[in-house]
Parts: sequence; C-alpha cells; structure tokens
Amino acid sequence: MRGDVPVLEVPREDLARVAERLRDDPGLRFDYPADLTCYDTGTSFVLWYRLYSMERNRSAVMRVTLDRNDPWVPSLTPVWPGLNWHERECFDLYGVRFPGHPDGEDPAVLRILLPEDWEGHPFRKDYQPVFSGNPLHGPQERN
Amino acid sequence: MSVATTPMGVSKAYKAGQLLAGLAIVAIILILSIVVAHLPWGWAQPIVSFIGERPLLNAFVKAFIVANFVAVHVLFLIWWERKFAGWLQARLGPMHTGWKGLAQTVADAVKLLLKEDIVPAKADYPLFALAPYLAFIPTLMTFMVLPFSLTWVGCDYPLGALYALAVSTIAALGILAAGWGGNNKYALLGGMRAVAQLISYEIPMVVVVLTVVCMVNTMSLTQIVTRQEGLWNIVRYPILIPAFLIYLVCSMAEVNRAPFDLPEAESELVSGFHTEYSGMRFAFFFLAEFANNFFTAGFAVILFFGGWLGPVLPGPVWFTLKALIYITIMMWIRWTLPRLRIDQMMGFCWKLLVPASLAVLCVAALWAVSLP
Amino acid sequence: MQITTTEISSPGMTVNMGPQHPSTHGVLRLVVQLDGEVVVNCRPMIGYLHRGLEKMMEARRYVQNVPFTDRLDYLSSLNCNLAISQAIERIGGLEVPERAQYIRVLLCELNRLASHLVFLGTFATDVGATTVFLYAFRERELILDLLEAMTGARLTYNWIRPGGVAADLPEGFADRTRAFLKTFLPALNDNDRLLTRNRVFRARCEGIGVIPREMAIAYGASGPVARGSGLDFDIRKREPYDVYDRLEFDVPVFPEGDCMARYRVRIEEMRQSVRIIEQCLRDMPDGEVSTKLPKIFKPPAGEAYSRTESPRGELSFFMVSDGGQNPLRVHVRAPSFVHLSLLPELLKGVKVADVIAILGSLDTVLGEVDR
Repeated sequence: MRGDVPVLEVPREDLARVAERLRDDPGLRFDYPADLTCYDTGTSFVLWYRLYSMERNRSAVMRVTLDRNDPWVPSLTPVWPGLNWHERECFDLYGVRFPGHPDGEDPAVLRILLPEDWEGHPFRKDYQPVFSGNPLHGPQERN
Repeated sequence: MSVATTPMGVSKAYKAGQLLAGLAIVAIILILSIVVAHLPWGWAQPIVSFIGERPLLNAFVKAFIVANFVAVHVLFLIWWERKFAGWLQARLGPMHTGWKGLAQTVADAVKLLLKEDIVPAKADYPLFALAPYLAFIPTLMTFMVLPFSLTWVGCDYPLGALYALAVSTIAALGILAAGWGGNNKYALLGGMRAVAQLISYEIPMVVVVLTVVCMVNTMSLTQIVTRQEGLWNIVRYPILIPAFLIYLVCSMAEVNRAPFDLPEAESELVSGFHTEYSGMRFAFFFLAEFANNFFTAGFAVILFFGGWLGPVLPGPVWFTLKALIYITIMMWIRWTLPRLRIDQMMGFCWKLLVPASLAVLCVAALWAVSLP
Repeated sequence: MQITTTEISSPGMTVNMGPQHPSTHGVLRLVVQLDGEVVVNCRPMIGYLHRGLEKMMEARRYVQNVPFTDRLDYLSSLNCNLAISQAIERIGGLEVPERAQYIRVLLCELNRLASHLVFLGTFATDVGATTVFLYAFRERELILDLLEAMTGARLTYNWIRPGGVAADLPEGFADRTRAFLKTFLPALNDNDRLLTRNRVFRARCEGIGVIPREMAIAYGASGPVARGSGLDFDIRKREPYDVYDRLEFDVPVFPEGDCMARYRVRIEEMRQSVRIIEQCLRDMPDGEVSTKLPKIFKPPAGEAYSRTESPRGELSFFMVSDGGQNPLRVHVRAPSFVHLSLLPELLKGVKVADVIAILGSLDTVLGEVDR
C-alpha cells in the first residue's frame, strides 16, 4: 500500500460508529466513498473500503475481517449513499449480507450482476458451479 | 495513409468534377424539358377533348394521373433526401443500386412488398388495417387540387386552399388509429403525441393561409398563382415574409420532420406510432409522409413564390423546381437541429406561433383594407 | 354530512427500456414507472455484460491480465491498460522510465479525445441532431488511424503494459499527430458552434438532470459528472501520476450540474487534451520505453491500488497479492458503475424524453459497469 494512506482495521461492532466519525469529524471529513470490495483470503473474508476527503485531498482505507461462514456487516449506505451498489455487488458475488441496506434482504432484489434466480456466490474460493438447469444462466459445464 | 491532399482522401479537383457533372445533368434535364414542351403536341388534341367531354372518364383519368404522380415522385424524393443528408454528413448516400443510387428506393419498395405481414395478436385489426389508408388517402386527395400549371391541375376547385387544408387534417385520424390499433404502449404514446402536435400546428398554418387569401381575395389555387403574374406574392406583399416563416415552421411540424419528429423519434420510444407496422403497411406511412412533404412544399410555392410562373422553362418544371428547393431547405433544417421535447413543442406553438400568426393576420387585414 | 374526497389513482404504466434499445449505450435495462409523461420510479438492471473478468484474472498471471482491461471500458481502453499497469507496478515495486511515461500520457490523451468524440456523437443523436454523430466519427477515424499505426489495433490496444509501453512510437508519428491536431481544433470548434449555442439543444439540456454538489460527493461521482456539478476533482491534478505534474493544462469545472454542464466539461476537456498532446510531443525525452519484468513475477504479499482519470471518471484497480504468480484478487472500481447508481435519484419527476438525454450525458459504458 502506498505509504501515506492510513489503513484502519475496524472490527464489525464499531464499523457504523467509525464510519460516521470519519465522515463527520471536522478534522477528517472523509465524505467521498471511493470504493468497497471484498476479497477471500481462503480463511476469511476481508471487506475493503476506500474513502477520500474532497476538501483535504486525502485517502483512507478501512478493512473489516469477517468470518467466512457468516459474513455480515451493517450497511453503510446511510452514511455514504454511493456504497449502495457496491454492497449489492459484494452480496451478489461473495454472499456478504448487509442488514440495513435500502433494498432489504431479498436476494432476488439485491443481486445486481448475476440473474435474480442465481444460486451461489461465484467469487468465493470454494465456489463450485452447479448447472441450475436454466439455459438463461449460460453454459456452465466444461466439455 | 499516403493518399491525400486533404485528410478526407479525395482531391479538390475530383470534388469539383463531381459537382460539374451533377450540374450538367440537371442542365440537360431542364433543356430537355423545354424541348419537349415546344414539340408539336397538336396530334393529342382529339384525345384530350374526347376525355374532356366525358366527366366520369375525365375524373378517372385525372385521378389516375395524380395518384401515379404521387406514388412515383416519392421515389425521387426519398433518393434525394438520402443523398442530401449524406452530403450534409460528409458521406455519399446510396451509390450502388442503379446509377448513383437512383434505384435505391425501388429496391426498398420491392423489399417492403416482399416482407411478411406481421399483425400483432391482440391488435385491433379493423383499425390496424385501416390506419395506413386513413393516413395516405387524404394526401392523395390534397394533390387533386395542386396546380402544376394553368392546365395541369387535377381539379380546379374554386375553394382549393380551404379544401386542401381541411382534407390534410384527416391524416391525424390515421395516425391515431395506428397508435391504438397496434396494441403497443410505445405506439400509443407516439400516436397521442403526433396527433396533439398535428392539430396544434394546424392553427397557425390555417391563419397564415388565411392571410394570403386575405391579400389576394381568392381561394382558388390557380387564381392565386395567376394573380402573381409579374411579381411573387412574397415580394408584392412584404407582410407575407413573417407569414412565410410561420408557414415554414408549421409545415415541418405537420409532416413530422425534425425538429418536430418526436412521434417517430428512433432514439426515444423506438419508432413511435408506426412501431407495429411492417412491410407494405409501413411503406404506406412512409409514402404518406413524403407525399405530404411535397404537398406542403407545393402549397407554399403556390401561396408565396409564384407557383409555376417563370421564364423559359415550362410551368410544371418551375413548380417542381421551386418545391424541391423548399423541400431541400426543410431537409437541411432537419439534419441540423436536435428535436424538441413534446411540451416544448406545444409551448412553442401555442405561446409563440398562434399569437404571431394572428398578429400577422391583423396587420395584413388592416393593410388590405386601407388600400385604395 | 361529511364530504370526503378520494384521490383518483390511475395505475402508472411500467415501461421497459429493454436491454436492446437504440439509446441506452449498451445492454442496460431500465424499468421505468411512468405517470403519463413523468417518471415516478426507475430501476436500472445491469449484469447483461457480466463476464466475471475479476475472477478470471485470479487464474492468470499478472501480465496476462492486461488484455482483459481493454474490454472493460472499450472506448478508452488505453486508460484501462494504464490503470491495471499502475496497480501491478505498485504491488510489484516497478519503475517506469520517463519516455514511457510521456508516451503513456500521449496515448491516454489521444484515447480521451476519441472517447469524448463518441460521447459527442451519441449524445447529439440522443437529442436528435444526427449529423454531429458523423462529424464526430470522422474526426475519430483520424485518431484511430494514428493509434492503429502505433499499436495495430483500432479499439482494444493492449499497449500500456506494466513497466512501460509495449514498443516505441513509429516513424513519423509525431508529425502525423501534429498534422491531425491542426485539423482537429477547427473541427471541434465547428461542432461546438453547431450545438452549444443552439436554441433547441439548450432547451433539451439546460436544467435537465441536475446533480447537486453534495449528491455528487455523497454518491462518489467523478470525472465530467463531478466536474459538471462544481467539484474541482481531477485525479490528474490531485494525485498526479506519470508526468501530469509537469504538464500545463486546465481542468474545466461548471457549477450548474445539468446535462449542458457535463457536455461542456467534455468539450473543454478535449481542448485541454490537445494542449497536453502538444506538450508531450514537444518535451518527450529519449530513452527506454519499458522496464524489463522478471521472468517469474511474484510480487510480495499485500494490497495496492491505483487511481487514474479515465474519460469517464475515477478508474481505479485494487489488487491483492498472496506472493504467488497470480493475483489473489483484482477489483475494478468503474466510474460508470457508480454513475449508474445515481440514476434512480436523478430520474424522479423527469419526463420520458429527458431520460435518454440524462443517460447520455452520464456517458456510461456497460463494459466497465458489468465487467
């Protein structure tokens, strides 16, 4: 990581508080949600938030480590509305749940890149593609 | 990239050569028309009087000629539109079918005839089938009174101007029927917009025509032209200059041309009121639109620019030439300007054009009354 | 006696501007609820172009992943190449020689011109002026000729690689580019004159689709969308990369936030790009065009990200390495993805004809939205 970008390791319980503090504290003012993504280290999931302060021209990174078997994190869409679709994408591809998200919890509504009736979360390292029988889901068997 | 003197790849000499060739062809056609006009046509006199004495045969022959003209001139107009649009857009337009693409429209018409006639399952079939004819036949009817010269007129009706305006409005019914009959939300939206636009822009148009009638004291189209002997209307009565400008705008709205082509805008709701039509039915709408184009152009030429009057060339040639220039101006405007939104279009008509046309009428009437 | 009034509610019409549509700039599905001519609600549905690029990148080596990025934002693929190359350089600790940096900037700005020309053409067509489309593409053909002479490709160049660029500029490239720039500025001014002060165009664009400044910040808007809302946000100035800190150029910012502002930002950006290209051609030093990558490229474990200013906004790549030859994770933060999430808020209360204009002014490319 570049030297001058602070990386905050935040436990899940404090996430909402820390997020609001980062946005509102007059010395910090990280008001611009640049990115949110998730990655699978094999043993755990890591949620990676990148924030940017428009007035101070500074970036910051928040990381949250999650348990693979029950990944969930309070939705930060109320703090930064721009994270809405990023959270949907993390759910769609990794299965991370975001209670409090404006679109609710229904997978059919939350899924964004994959079809609504897709089963499974493909970007996980342990994802085994199963042919759903729905030809609209595209060819999934390797010949 | 080792070709050119200009980045576009063709030398100026080549372009000049092309231009000269085009002008030469036009000149040859005009000279031919003069020659043909002065040939001895006396031998045809018995046939003409034979037809003239039998009113039913007379009506049939004239209607036949007019209908054929309407169908055929559209071929040329569509070719010209595509060529001119191409030249405006730094490209060539149709080039392959026929010489310089002249047979392109014929090829398109044949293709449309060969297409499958798709009728949507839940469509209102009587309306669906009737709509193209409802849109096309009024245009045919308006051509009956359009004089190409003193004798070349389908029917020299004394109330020609009124008849033409009244009949051309019936086409709006056809568009409404098309929008409804296809059982398609997009088509319905398009149809409603089109009808709103058509009937709104009729009003300034009628008022402007009324202005002209006011100045020349006659509604017969042939009489309007003969009274312009020596000086065109627009020169003789300068008040007609704003009237002509209003007429120009209204005629573009009447034929659904940009900037007023929202009802058939491709990038909006697909294709507007003729979304559900394919094959020959669609061809009818297309035909109707281009025939209407020529009609409004011809009407403007008669009202403002002296109809068939002009030196040297025979009457019909002058008429067609002037109408073609008017149509070219409409095309130029179409391919330059973006399109207006429906509420902006309606606002423009009701808040600007209607008061303006009424003002023009008032001034013209006062002037006409004050003349000795 | 009580007089009660009940609202007459007529069910709104749900219109599907489906995946195939002349104007949605790619396979985007907009489910729009209409109340007459006015949009009540809108739900963009994406994913029609989702190819799983990010997962595919995990199965290939770092350098093999560069061609994938061409297919992200295919209208400005050199910028995407640049973004992933920067991320790989950061995670692997590679240096880029100075000549390569100048060539990178030159190519990216040429690509920016080409991409903005596509915007010009398609936006003008969306509001009805079809002729401008052909004029814009005529200029674009000249740029594509230049880039084809250099890279061999017209759309997916795969030319900016980790460590530099694939090869040096060909013979006579500088002269041809200068000749092109001489003809380009008058053509741009022509197109500008045709549209910018046109009464009809202004009526279609001014006041339409206003994004307030706070909304732009809160949603993460970037690029021309942010600069059209009054945010002076250009990564080339804020976090300069390559040689942008040595070049003189202005960043156009317009405060109105409507479609017209975004359009004008892009037109001005084209003029500034011309300035940048001229300076690059003038100042380019001689030297190497790439650092050699080791045969087996295994960057140390860790995370890295790159931020670039693509014609659409802030394009940034996030990479995680676990020490192996393949990346553990590659994530693309696409500007169009973020801008599309603005759409439901933006389209409330707007007329149908304006939906197309607003969507066009956001200038989204579905390749990078869906990946």
